Parts: sequence; C-alpha cells; structure tokens
Amino acid sequence: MTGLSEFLDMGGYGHFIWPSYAVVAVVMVGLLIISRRELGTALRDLDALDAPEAPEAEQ
Amino acid sequence: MNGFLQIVRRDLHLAMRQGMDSLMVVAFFVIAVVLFPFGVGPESNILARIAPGVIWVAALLSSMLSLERLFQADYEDGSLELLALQPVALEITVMAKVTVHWLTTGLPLIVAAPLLAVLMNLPDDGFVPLMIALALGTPALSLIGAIGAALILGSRRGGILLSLLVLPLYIPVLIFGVSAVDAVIGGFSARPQLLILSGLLVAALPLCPWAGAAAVRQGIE
Amino acid sequence: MFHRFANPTRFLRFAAVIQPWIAAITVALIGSGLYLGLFNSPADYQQGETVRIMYVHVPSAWMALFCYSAMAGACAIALIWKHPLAELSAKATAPIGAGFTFLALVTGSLWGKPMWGTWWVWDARLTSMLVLLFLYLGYMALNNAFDDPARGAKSSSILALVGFVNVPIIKFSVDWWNTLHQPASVVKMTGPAIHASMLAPLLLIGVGFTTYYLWVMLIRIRYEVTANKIRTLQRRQAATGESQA
Repeated sequence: MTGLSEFLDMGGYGHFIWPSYAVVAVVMVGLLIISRRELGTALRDLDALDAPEAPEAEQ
Repeated sequence: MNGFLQIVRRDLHLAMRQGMDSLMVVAFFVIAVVLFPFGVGPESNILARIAPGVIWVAALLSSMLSLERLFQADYEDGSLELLALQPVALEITVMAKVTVHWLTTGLPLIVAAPLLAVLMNLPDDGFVPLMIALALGTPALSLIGAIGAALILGSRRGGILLSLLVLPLYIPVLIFGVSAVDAVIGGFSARPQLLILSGLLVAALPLCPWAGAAAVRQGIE
Repeated sequence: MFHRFANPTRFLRFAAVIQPWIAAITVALIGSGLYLGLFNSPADYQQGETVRIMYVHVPSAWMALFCYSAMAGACAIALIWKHPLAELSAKATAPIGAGFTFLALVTGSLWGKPMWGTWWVWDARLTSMLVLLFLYLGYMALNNAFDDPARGAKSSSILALVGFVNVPIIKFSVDWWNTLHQPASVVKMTGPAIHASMLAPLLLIGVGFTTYYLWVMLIRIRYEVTANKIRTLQRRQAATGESQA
C-alpha cells in the first residue's frame, strides 16, 4: 500500500505529473472517440441515402 | 508598369472619393494608443517604457482594420474578375492594391506616430528609429495582410477570421519593429533590427503578391 | 505507391484493412513506453521525478511540428497535383496537430510550475508553440468558413503553405526577442545529455504518437470521403427532386 502511495506521490511532484498524463490521455482518447463517432454517423447517413428510395416512389 | 499605375490611380481615386476610410484608421490608431494611459496609469516612466510596443501594436491593429476592404468591394461588384482577365498579371494587380492600401493606411499611421510618441512620453532618441521602423514595417504588414484579405473572399465571418489568419504572421515585424526602438533608447545601435526588417520587407515584396494572386485566383474561380 | 491509393474507394478499402493493425501497434508502443517511463527509468538528478513529464511533453511537441509539416506537404501536393486525397489528409491532420500543440503547451506549463515556479514563462519554445497553435486554429477556421467545402480546402491550403514558410521566421524572431528579455532566474529545460534508460521510453512514446496520428488520420479521412459522398448524393437527389416537381 505504501508502495502505491509513494509511486503516486512521485517524490512530491505527483500533482504535476499525473495531471499532465491525464490531460494527454483525455485529449488523445477524446479525439479518437470523436473521430470514430463522426465516421459512424456519416456511414449511417450514407446508408440511409443509398437505400432504395421507397418513400419517394410512393409519392 | 502602365497597368500597375492605372490600377493604383483608379483605386486611389476611389479611396479619395470615399475619403473617410483613411481618417477612420488614423482615428482608431490614436484612440487605441490613448486608451493605454487610462489602463496602466499616467506615470510617465511606465508610459515611456511601453511606448514603442503600444504604438506598434496599435499600428498593427489599425493596419489590419482596413484589410478586409482590400479586395472585398471589387469582389462583390465583379470588377475583380475583370481585373483578372486583363493582360496585366494578377500579381501586378495585387501589388497595386497593396500599394494603395499602404498609401491610405500605412503612410497616415507613420505621420500620426510622432504625435502619439509625444503623448506616450517616448524618449527623444526613440523618434527617428520609430519612424524608420514603421516605414520599413508597415509595407510588410500591408503585403502580408493582402494574402489574408484574398483568402477570405466569399467566406462567412470575414473580418474576425482575417485577424486570426493575419495577426500570427505579423509577430516577426512587431518584434523587430519594437526592438529597433528599444535598442536606440537603451543606447545601442538599431542597425541589426532595421536590417532584418528590411530583409522581411524584401522577402515579402515578391512572395506576398504571388501568394495573394494565387488566393485571388481560386477565390474568383 | 502514391497513385495506387489515389482512388478514394481503393484507399478506403486499404484503410479499413490496415486500421486495426495500426491501432494495435499504437497501443503496444505507447503502453510499453509508459511502462518504461513510469516504472523503469530513473529520476533526473537535477529535475527529480518531474522529468517524467518529458515523456509526454517532448513527443507532443515533436508531433505538433511533424503534423504541421505533414499538413503543409499535403497542401502543396493538393495545390500542385490537385490530388483529392491530399486535401482530405491535410484537413484530417489539422485537429490532430492542434491537439498535440495544445498538449505540448499544457504539459510544458505543468512541467514549468515546479521548475520555474510559475505556470507560464515567455520561454522561446513555449511561445513558438503558442503561435503554432494559432496557425492551426486559423487553418481550421478558414477551412470551415466557406459554404463550398472545395473553396475552403483550396484557401486553407494556401494559408498552410504561407504559414509553413513563416514558421522558421517566427521561431527566429521569438528566439531573438526571448534572448533580449530573458529573465535572470530561468532554469533551462534542456537538462544534461539524456540517459539511455530515458531515451527508450521517449522514443517508444514518440513513435507511438506517430502511429496514433496515422490511426486517427485514417479515421478522419474515411469520414471526409464519406461526407463528400453524402454531399454529392444529396445534391443529386435535390436536383432530381426539382426536375420531378
């Protein structure tokens, strides 16, 4: 247990080191998730447009 | 050369007829500088210390203020397309527009600068380098700004976008312009700074009209 | 190599195949780099444990510059050879580069607080990074400022090249300006020569960030290609709808 808290403390500099790793993780993972979600939405929209235009044929 | 002079004459004529634009730019320049004593207090030694920087930043902003109109009016009424079709190279046309922009904003700023330097309590040694640095720097600002003005043709939110594009590119001119004045006030020679400013201007003279013309071309396509 | 993937459809198929591989390599590289950096490397004798911020700060700064060069290169290809994928990859690169620039600034600031005693000093490298962030933001703003995306792509390509020419000039002038105004008590960030046990995690994370860039860029290019297809289809449907009415 002391090993872990010592590791997290980082010689007293833990509150500078961990936030920098955290912000890097948040930005990089965030950008990845946003990009994937945008791609997913676009692919779904494309499928919807490509689908046989049944409702228009009825009109 | 003939085509160049023709466009300069035409645009100067238009600017004269509207008339107010140049005055507005100078008025903005003066007001922007005059705000600083209210912001930092009237102690003359503080004002003297920040005077070169304040005057330069205000000159940068005022020069940028009128950039949006550089191609916009001609773009909207279609005369920019006519200018592009003329036998004169588009680079020359851009150069002529830059010249007019400098004559109607840069030059008035240089004329107004000594007055502001007095208000800001600039040490006497600083006047001459300030004028020389402005004389070398403001044409470079007009040249760099012309690229930005051409890029935003037909865009949404033109004016505010222009400042985001152009201001980072102005930083080198600002640094050496202020540093030339600071050097002389501090008892050094301003020669290196003025040489670098001339270098920036000489480099901008061919490159900026070229890039600006490329931007105009794809804007009117 | 170049022309084989010029065709967007072929590129999409290729991208879908290699994407999981790139993802796996990225996770492995960054994971092992983090392990070495956090558990298996010594603290610096001058800077102590804070040197561990270097493992994310320095690669972010590398990527900030690398992405801008890649973007300018893609823009040059787009303007000269009118290569459709070049424009899209430049557009896809910008947010990633801006993200890394932002990270370099934030981690630099978090590193600077214990080293310099303040969150921000106008250090030449931090200042240049700040200007670089503005260049990225300008590029992205201009790219999105037009109703016609093709116009935005062309305008912003020219801007990226103008910015690329300016980056060394800005760097030079900021260095000059900084040496004039150098505060006396600044501790330089460049420590002694880097020990091998520190170099290994640094390089692993650096390469990992590069493959991360490729990974996200592939996703973003696929998104841009799909968005273009949607626009074309919508325009076509609108046109046929009008002719029927």
